[in-house]
Amino acid sequence: MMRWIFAVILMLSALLYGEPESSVFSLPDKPASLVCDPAQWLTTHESREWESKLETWKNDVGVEIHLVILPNLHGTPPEYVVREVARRWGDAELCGVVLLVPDGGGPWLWWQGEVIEKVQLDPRAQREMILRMEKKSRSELTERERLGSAVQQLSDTLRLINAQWQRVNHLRDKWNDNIFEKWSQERLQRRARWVTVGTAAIFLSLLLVWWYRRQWIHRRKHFFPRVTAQRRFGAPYAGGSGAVVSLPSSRSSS
Amino acid sequence: MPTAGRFQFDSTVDAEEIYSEPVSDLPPVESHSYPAKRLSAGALFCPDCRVRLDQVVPVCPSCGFTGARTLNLFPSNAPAMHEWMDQAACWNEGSRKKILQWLKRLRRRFPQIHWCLLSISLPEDVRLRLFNFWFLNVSPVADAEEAERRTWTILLTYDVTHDRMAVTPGYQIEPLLADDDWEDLLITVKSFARERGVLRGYLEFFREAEKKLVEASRRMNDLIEHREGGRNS
Repeated sequence: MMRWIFAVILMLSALLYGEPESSVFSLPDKPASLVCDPAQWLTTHESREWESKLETWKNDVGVEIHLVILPNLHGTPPEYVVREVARRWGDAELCGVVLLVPDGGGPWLWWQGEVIEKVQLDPRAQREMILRMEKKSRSELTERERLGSAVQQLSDTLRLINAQWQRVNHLRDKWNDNIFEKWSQERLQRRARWVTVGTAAIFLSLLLVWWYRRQWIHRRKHFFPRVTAQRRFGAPYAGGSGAVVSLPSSRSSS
Repeated sequence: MPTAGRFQFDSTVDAEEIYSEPVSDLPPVESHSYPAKRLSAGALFCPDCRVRLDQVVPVCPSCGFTGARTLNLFPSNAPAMHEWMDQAACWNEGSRKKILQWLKRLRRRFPQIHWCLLSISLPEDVRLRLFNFWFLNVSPVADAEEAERRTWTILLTYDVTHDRMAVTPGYQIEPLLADDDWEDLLITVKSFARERGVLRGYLEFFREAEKKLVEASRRMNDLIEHREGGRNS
């Protein structure tokens, strides 16, 4: 019985919170610019200003924000729409979306990307930040001011996140560089040590060989063959060969 | 003629007996020996008149020199021969140690060769070469072993009175170095004695003698190998 009740609850939940059918709402194609305003709620001048500003942020600080103004969501939850926009149109690294439905509430904000995961931003904190930003922007008087506030807050937040990521990268690179430099120095020292030890060992070996050879040469005994003595003049031990020389006159011989 | 009183030795021996024996009665040589003439480094000369001897003779064909004649020249009895005989007391202790150190080294490298270093004061008319001949032959030997050792002895005499030096080798040493080699060695002494004293000359003499004896050893071994190799082939 409990199983049946649980199954019914699941089916109802799916019906209530499941993905809306595409027949009710369809996301327009990705526009050429960062501003999507199919209903032309913005004036041309405003639209160009936003496009210029968003392009500048994208190119200068790497923050991509899509400004989407839709006349009607056909009952589709705006939280779902902003996520879809970010997923389909946005940059995989980091992107933000501001959704506004004129006279329909909002604006709604969202941001996502690999950078969010890399800086390890807590999803609960992200959700809290988004709610605060939406609440603050909705406190403005007009929808245009709300839109401007939302975009500005989102831009600031994304720039902060991006800066954090850049700093992490910078620190990581610096850390890697430091490690590599230290490793290089250690390797150099290690090699220098080996070369020194090797050279010393070779030198000592050569010195040892030289010394041993010298010792061997100087300690080597020489034996002469015994000859038949050429005895002459009746002398038994020596025949008087040899030499005589006169030294320079000196009395200080010692 | 010098008299016995003019150069005295402590020990005495009857030198007349040395030359009283006929040559044929001298101690026999060992059967395993090489002919000296084949291995000889140079020619033989008479110690008296310096004429070259073409063959081994008991009497010099030129001047009639014999060993017995030296007994008349030096009628005193010769003492026993030792390695160190500083009769003239011309060396101090330091010099003695240095020279004996070199002799020790030479003995180690050439175990067969013995040295006798003699310093003495001789009259001017004494011929040092004949004196060495006389002393090397008449100095008494205790036994056959010492007699054998005597033929392997090199006598280096320094006449301190007249600054002369003479070197005389025994029969076994004769083939190793020619008279010219000995003369070269003594000239080395002379050169160094002039510049740096007789002691330095002695030390250089030993240094050069070591080289020459090593060379002689190689030469003789080569000769023997060649000779025996030729015989075997």
